[in-house]
Amino acid sequence: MAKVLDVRGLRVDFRIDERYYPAVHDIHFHIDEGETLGLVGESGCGKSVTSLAIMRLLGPGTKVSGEVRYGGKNLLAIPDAEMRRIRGNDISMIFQEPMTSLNPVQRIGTQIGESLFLHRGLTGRAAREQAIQLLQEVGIPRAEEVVDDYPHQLSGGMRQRVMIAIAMACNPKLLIADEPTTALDVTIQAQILDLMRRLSRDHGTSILLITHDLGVVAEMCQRVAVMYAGQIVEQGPVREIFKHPQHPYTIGLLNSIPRMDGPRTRLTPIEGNVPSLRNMPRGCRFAPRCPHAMDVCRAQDPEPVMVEPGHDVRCWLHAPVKEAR
Amino acid sequence: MLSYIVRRLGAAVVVLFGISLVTFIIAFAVPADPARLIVGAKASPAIVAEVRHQLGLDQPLPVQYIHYVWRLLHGDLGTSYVYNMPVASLIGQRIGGTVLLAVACWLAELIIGIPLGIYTARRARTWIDYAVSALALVGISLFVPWLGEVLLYLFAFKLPVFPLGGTGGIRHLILPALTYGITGAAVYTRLLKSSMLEVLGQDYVRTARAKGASEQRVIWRHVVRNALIPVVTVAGIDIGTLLSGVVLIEVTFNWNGLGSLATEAISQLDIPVIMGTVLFTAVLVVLFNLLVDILYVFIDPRIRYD
Ligand SMILES: Nc1ncnc2c1ncn2[C@@H]1O[C@H](COP(=O)(O)OP(=O)(O)O)[C@@H](O)[C@H]1O
Ligand code: SF4
Ligand SMILES: [Mg+2]
Repeated sequence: MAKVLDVRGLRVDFRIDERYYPAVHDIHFHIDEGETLGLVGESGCGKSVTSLAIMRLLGPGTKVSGEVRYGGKNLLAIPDAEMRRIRGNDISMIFQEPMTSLNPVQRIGTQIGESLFLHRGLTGRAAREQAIQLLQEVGIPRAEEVVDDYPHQLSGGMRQRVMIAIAMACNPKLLIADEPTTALDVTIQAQILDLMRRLSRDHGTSILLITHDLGVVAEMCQRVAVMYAGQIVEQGPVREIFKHPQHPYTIGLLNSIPRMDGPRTRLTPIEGNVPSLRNMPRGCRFAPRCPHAMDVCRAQDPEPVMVEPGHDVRCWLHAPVKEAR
Repeated sequence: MLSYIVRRLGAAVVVLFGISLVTFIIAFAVPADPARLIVGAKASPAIVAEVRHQLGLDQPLPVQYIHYVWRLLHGDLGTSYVYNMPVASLIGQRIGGTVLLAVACWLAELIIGIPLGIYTARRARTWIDYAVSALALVGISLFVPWLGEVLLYLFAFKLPVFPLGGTGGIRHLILPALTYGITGAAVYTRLLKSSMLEVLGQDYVRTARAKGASEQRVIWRHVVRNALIPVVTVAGIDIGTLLSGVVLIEVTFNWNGLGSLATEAISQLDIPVIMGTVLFTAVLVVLFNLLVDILYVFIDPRIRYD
């Protein structure tokens, strides 16, 4: 299957007090056409930074290197103007906070219309009609009225639908959704996920779904990449990873969610915290929290290793014998 | 929307009553007997008493206050002791000049302050930002009459481009407005800059960028409009206070306005004129604040349903 997006060796460094610290460190992943890839990890693992780096939306004081291949080009190397034609058109994005992601002083129709104007040249009545149609498609009742509303007149769930309408306005090839349901309550969360699944199926849109919730991954994704401290520590098909998780971090995450199938055991969250950028441990970054940590783990960072076709793990437990131990 | 305006109007009426009470009290705080002032030092006590009676000053204070408000409601601000003319007509003669000058000063502040605010926000933490901020600080700390004199010396005396003070049209307005603009613009520059920096970090700005909007478009369509909201508040309060605050400018540039009327009245203890000008400018301040509140609704739609 063709790859929509291919991220190779992406690295992001932030400048803090005159020094650069890596927040995303040499990550590789790709997204196939029509596929939903989950990017999971605890808060602070670098998920949002990864997505903003792909969109080139990180501010000054940031160094981004590596490659983000889309449509035969490296998005990190193209001119700004060309990148702007891709944003909101080929690749669009929705965010965690529907309450603050819309401009409070512009009408909904204007905000959807902006994408239509920027990439389709639509204005006036044509843009308005298209906006109403998009609102209907994302399941907003009374779309003809809502198009003239301001964001504060809508609930969080409705605003996230509007964000999705904006993102889908130009029928993108890839939708990046950064914790799109984290701020919403459970029933609304399910509705928004349903909507995204339907849109992805109807339009063939690929989704990069960022979440810290493995339940969401199980429901939405075909493949998943598990992120820890700026690295992808394990990735592969969702079924395989849920059945045979290999990395101690993945196992820890799985043990900390309620399982629908197995017996209702007590949840065991992983002890400790994600390290901050300035205090990255030497060697394997998970070592301070890992129940299997060995001397080699603290000395040297493991490289990704394929355990099955399409299933990679970054852990000394799975390294070829001659290198490890 | 309508009920919002009605509520604001109601609040304004209450404030106006408060102001009338304060001006009334001011009149009694002035250590002088108006009757004596009118008839002069040599008049007999009987005549003074007669004038006191005519002025209603022999009645209890609450009664005097009610009479005062009653006359105010009929547009009667009293009669000047000095000019022997209705205070309302005196104010009427001078108000035009003051409003013109105040608006010119206000516009000068905005015209200098707002573009600099936008400019420095876009170049925050560069040397040009530091340079403009330093200049703004210099401007803010200059004494208005001093700067006025300097500008008069440079651009009216040495280089006679503008008139040497006096009341008049555009040519007379430029130097006083510039004086005020230079000393007042920094407030707007700083306010708008910090407001823009805050808005630039908002999620909806990131949304606009994620749509593919250019930096220009992001700034003008998304950032500036939101960042101007606090500026409008300050600008509204500012034009209100300016109407009473242009006194220094009026004096420096020998401009005929309410400020000069009030300063004269104070030096001559012309109590009705003092009361009238204080009350009148207070009313203007209230009205301008009302205007800003209403203007606000158009800039920030969230207010409408509060
Ligand atoms: N602009 C920034 N400057 C410095 N550090 C940042 C910046 N943005 C994020 N970080 C740091 O990078 C790490 C990853 O953050 P993020 O990608 O937001 O995590 P998450 O996985 O929760 O989305 C965190 O340690 C965060 O503090
Ligand atoms: S490399 Fe070592 S410390 Fe890191 S996850 Fe694997 S076993 Fe644990
Ligand atoms: Mg995040």
